[in-house]
Amino acid sequence: MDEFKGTAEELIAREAARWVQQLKTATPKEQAEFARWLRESRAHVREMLLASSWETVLHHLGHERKVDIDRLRAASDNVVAVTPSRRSSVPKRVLALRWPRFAAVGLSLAITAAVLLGALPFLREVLWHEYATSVGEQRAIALADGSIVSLNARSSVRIELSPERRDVYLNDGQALFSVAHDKARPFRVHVDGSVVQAVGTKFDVHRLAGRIEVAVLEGRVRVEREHPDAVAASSLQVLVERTQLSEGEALSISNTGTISVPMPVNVSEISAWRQRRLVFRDRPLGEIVEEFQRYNAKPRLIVEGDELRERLFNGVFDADEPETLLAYLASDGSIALERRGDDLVIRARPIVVQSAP
Amino acid sequence: MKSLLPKQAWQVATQYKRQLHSYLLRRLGKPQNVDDLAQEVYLRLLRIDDADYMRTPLAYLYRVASNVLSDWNETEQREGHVTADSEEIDRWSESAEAAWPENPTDRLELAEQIERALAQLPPLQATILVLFEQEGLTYQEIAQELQISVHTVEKYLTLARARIRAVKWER
Repeated sequence: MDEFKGTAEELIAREAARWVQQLKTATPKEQAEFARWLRESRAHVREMLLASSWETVLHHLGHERKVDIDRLRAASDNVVAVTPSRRSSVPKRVLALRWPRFAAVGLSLAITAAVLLGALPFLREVLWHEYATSVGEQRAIALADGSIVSLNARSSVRIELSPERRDVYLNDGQALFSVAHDKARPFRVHVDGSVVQAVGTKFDVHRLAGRIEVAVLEGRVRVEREHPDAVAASSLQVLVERTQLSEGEALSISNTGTISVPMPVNVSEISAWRQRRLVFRDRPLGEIVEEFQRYNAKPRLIVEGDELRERLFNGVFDADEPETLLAYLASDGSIALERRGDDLVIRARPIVVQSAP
Repeated sequence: MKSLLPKQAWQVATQYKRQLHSYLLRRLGKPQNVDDLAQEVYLRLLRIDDADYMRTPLAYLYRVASNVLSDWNETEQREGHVTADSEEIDRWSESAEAAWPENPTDRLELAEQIERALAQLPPLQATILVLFEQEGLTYQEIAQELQISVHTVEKYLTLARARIRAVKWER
């Protein structure tokens, strides 16, 4: 999302910005390199003068009037999508009003506008945002309440913040939540009919093909199934399955909604994906390959045969290097690798029956 | 230009830097003036003694730019057009907080301009820029605070600096 495409002037501005930073610790060799760069053109001189002015300006502002960090963070949830210059640069962030009825009342446009303006502080609170990452891309989202959502590659979340509650919908992939403490506003992660609720904690939710995995790094969460109709659930006294999960524990929720017994996990392994490391303990090859595809579109890895897809493997890999996985698999005598165009097929080696001499 | 030892050159440059930036501050919205300044500085940089310049290029940049400014002011004074700028530059070069406007209204206005500029950056980048420049946090601390990698902090800081430069400065 962060290409700084544009004119030559903008590119030079970027170079100048890099130099402002680099010159603070520059070696004599780098100083000389900068000296040459500066002499290359008038535009370089100009951008360097402006860049260092900005540095002074920002530095001085600190003594004068601190920019409120929380307000900046709040901007990532409320203001940003409204700023016209930002709209084009963040296509993945969707802004929507959840009160279409306002528009349907049929009043004149002027009156509608007046109502909307009057209700603006209220409307801002029911705005929601969607964030998505593509293959290989990870990002952190700072929410207005101080919580931070780290989003893994090829994942998406929808975030709804209101004065009463904080709701996150994990629509795809995996995310790690560092929840800011706020007893009055429960923080809930909804994923495919299950809810993970936290108050001031750090936990990971991973949406896989056949199940959902929840792991707690700090604090405690409560995991439960969401009944499709909450009113019916309470009147019919339907038993809601509910499990407490403590620090250093993980559980999985199956496709059918069965919640497993909490099991101890290695906390550092759970969050390793943020360092783009993949840690597998007794994981089916099918899932392992799926994880790699989250980071790498090519080569496309295909596992042939159910037996092999379900065979369990252990290992720690660099997420950006599927070759390490392939080398590991190749070292297993029972597995054959075969390249078919852009695809790489992983299959069991046929057992050769040696005939007696 | 008289050659200076690197350390002296740096001291001189720091002294000039304030007055230079107070000048630039007032002209961020008038690209024409900055273009003229850059043009003159560029030409003078090409004439500087090579070895000294290569050692402390940034110090020379500030010093040369300041020289250009004071030359311009002298010319204006000789011609009888004593502008507010020349008086201000004299005053600022004596004051410690030189680059910052003295008038509270100007200060407030400047602070608001900066906040508006920051608001036009992607929030994460603006946050990183503020944490670094104002709060004085290290890359490492920022990375920890925002739960992102040090590499990302570094990358976004550069982007933020470049972007804020491109922001329109309202008058």
